[in-house]
Amino acid sequence: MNRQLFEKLAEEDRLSPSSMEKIRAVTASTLFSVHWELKTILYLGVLLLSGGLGILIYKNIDTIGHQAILALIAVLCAGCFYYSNRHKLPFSRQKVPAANAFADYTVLLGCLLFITFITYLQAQYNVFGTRYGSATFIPMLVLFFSAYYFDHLGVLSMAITNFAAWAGIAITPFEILSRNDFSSDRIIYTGLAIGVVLIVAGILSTAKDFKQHFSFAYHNFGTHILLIACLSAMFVLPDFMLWFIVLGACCAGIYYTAMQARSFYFVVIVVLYAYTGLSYVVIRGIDASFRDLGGFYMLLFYFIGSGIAMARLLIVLNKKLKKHDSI
Amino acid sequence: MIAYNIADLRNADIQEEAMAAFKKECVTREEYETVKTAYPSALYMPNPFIRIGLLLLTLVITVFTFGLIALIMFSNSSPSETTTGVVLIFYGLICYGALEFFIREKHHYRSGVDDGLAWSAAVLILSGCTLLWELDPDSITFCLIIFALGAFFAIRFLNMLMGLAAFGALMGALFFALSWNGPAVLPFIYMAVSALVYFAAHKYAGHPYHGPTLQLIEIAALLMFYVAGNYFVVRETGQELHGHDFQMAAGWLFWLLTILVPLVYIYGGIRKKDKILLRTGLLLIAFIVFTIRYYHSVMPLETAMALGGAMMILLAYALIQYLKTPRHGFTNEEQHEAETLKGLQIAESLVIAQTFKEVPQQPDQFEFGGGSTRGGGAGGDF
Repeated sequence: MNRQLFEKLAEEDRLSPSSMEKIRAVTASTLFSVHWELKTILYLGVLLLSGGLGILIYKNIDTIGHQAILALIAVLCAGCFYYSNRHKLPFSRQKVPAANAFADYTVLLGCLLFITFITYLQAQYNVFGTRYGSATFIPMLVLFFSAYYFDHLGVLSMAITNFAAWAGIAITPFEILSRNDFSSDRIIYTGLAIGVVLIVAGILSTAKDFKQHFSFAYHNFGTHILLIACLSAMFVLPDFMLWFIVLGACCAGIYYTAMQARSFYFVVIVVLYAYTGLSYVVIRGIDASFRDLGGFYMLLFYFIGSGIAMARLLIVLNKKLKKHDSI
Repeated sequence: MIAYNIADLRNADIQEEAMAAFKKECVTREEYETVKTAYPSALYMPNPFIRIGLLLLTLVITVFTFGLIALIMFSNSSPSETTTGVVLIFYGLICYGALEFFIREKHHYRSGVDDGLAWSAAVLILSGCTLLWELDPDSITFCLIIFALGAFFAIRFLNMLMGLAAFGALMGALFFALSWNGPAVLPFIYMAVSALVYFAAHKYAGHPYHGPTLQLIEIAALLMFYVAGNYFVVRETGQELHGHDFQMAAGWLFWLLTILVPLVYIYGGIRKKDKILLRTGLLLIAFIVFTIRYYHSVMPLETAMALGGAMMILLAYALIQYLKTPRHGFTNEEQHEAETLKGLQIAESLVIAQTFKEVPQQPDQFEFGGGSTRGGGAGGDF
């Protein structure tokens, strides 16, 4: 905060002396916070260590050394969970802050090492059999449990992507479009199902007041996969009008929850997905009825007009939501 | 020179400060309202997500409007390059007029509409000039046009990325001017210019309106200074320009620069409590490791990763313990407000989900796509 500015405001008698005192107290501290620098170093350390150990195991898989590495991983993993558990505040349905910055990352490291360990056991000895895709199913359970037990948003995000992977679909931000073959019916239906499940999980977290701050993660992954699956269904499956209606219904539902939660983010993405779907229908319609340059003109006019309309819509929605800002 | 109304900008800034104070519970709601009415701002500044949406829609509108113009003008004949160039510039000027209109009449400020129109105008005018004068993208003139456009939009419309583009273009122009005449001194000229730009930007980085742009340029100049002296970059650029018989003079000097510059940044960042220096320095540590590993494989990659990771975790642990009570003016306390913090935590969780997806995989046997019930995710099959 700019102290001089507030001194000036106080001189103009717009701030009470007690408020000015508070501002002086806050701005008096000239401490330099290296919180996020330390967190980034920790994060990179966890990334490198778990990744390095994972590769080490595979490279040494038929030598005597791999058992030593495996033992090291087991010990490290146990150590991580032991440390996290000791430095953990008691469980609660609400948000529990991490006891210290370090414990947050030992949870993460512990989970990653555990997954490496399980994956290895499964690969080498087939410990868990082949039912239910157990190679992803068990890590998923561990991740969900750790996320709730230690109250860790990062682990929850990993658990959610793992859940989708178990069902056969990639929903991590950069792979959602590139790794999934959306021309296959199975992927589309899986995407729809996963999206619905995740959004319901998000709604339940809020409604049942159970770890409410997790609901954003569920809604975020769920909304994107659901709407992308709807759009793909429109593009690929035979009856595109039917899927357009489904898309519209999904968008309406998400729009409703987004307005209730006063979320700018979800309102914008719903508008953009719906606009994409609508434009596809219009393009199909124009394509079917005009076979000459006139159709092309129509298309250009449509995009100019609808673009302006959508921009105005966003401006109106912004005003509507402005009253109570949230993310 | 700034297109926006200065009083509005200043008042918006005051309102933002008052809002921050209100969220930190330093001032009451009534006081916040009083300040807001005493310093009114007509600026239209929507939420960042709405801004992104408006930016996309503005680009859709400009692209299709250009399509319409092109269709009307060129539907009967295929145009010459000159005509196309003139039309591009003409339409760029229309976008520019619309930009001025939205700022003057509708008071848009960082609304997405002004960003979209500014980028459309700049890109259209640039492509128009390129066609009109048959410019080669690898030429000084081309870079200088980008520099002029970028600097103009950065100064008049407070556009940070345009400032970055102008800096990049300046560096490009320098390259095309010097790479054929004085390749041996190229790194040193780059370093000198970067240092000059850094100190100039640093001096005015506290400017109320141009400050953010200048801070971005500071980062770019620090990175450029390092890259210019980096052993890998100097060697590879030299070979690119002179073929494989390129002999690097004073290789030791560049090794020294490669390793020392980031450490100097970090030291300066700690001494001066300068976030930009500190963070840039920390980022560049990765480039030291990369450069050394590229020429000398000290140990296998996975061992290096595991050991390096363990060292980083221990270092962070030691620092967190050390800073449990603030020392030398440093603290490990979180200083963000609740709302920013929530955003940062969400971003962090997405980064974690993205980066740790494949950790337990064996890379060369990983099957892409969702063919099996277990494809495409963490802990998959092999």
